[in-house]
Amino acid sequence: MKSSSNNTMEQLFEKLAQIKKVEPNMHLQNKTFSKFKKQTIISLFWVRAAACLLIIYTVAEVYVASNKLNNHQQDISILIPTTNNILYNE
Amino acid sequence: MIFDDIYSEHRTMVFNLALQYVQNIEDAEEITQDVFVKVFNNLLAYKKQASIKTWMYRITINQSLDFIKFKNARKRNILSSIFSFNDETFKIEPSNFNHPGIILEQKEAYQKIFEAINQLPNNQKTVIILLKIEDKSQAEAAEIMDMNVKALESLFQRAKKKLEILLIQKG
Repeated sequence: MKSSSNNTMEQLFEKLAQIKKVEPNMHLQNKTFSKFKKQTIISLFWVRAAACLLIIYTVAEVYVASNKLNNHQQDISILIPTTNNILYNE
Repeated sequence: MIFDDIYSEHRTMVFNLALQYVQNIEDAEEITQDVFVKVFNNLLAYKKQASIKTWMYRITINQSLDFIKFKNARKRNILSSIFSFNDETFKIEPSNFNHPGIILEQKEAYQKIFEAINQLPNNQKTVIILLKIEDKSQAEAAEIMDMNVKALESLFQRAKKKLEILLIQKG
């Protein structure tokens, strides 16, 4: 049983080995070289540097904005007297 | 010129290897272009730890697998926006089987075999292609796949078993 399945697989592999090698089309060389010349190469280093700067800028913006909001809330709390529940006549 | 030499020496190997992964002339040509662009860009960074042929085999294999992954992801996005697919069961076969190395009378039989090969995990697919289609020795295939011969042998046995099951399922 096992040997028959082995034979089947061997036949299949023989079939795969019969696949012919083909030459690529002649125009492919020109296409490849023009693709190579056309590309704009941006170094990964600069992409990473730009990404880091963007992250730093965003974090700074968020930090400044949240600080401003806190200060603003403190200003308001000074202007508006807080009420308490103590009765003065007691 | 060095680029011309590299291209003319390796173009047939790169094109045919890509063809075994995608079974389609247009896609294989696109992969071949991308492989050589990558090779030319990285020629200066190429360290002679492996031979240039092995290095090119690795680039071609990675480029072919990335191409299939990208193409499947694109198709999945388009289709899943129309229908709701289960991600795990959803697998796309390569479109229009057009392998120039196969004679027309046997196209149907080979298409069935390649449909099964395409369902194998990437490393199992690669080991079958290298050993049985590209006719590489175990040592050469092991070097290309960056593993030892024993590990390659057991990977091949697993691939063979899985391929047999897939072919039985297909009938």
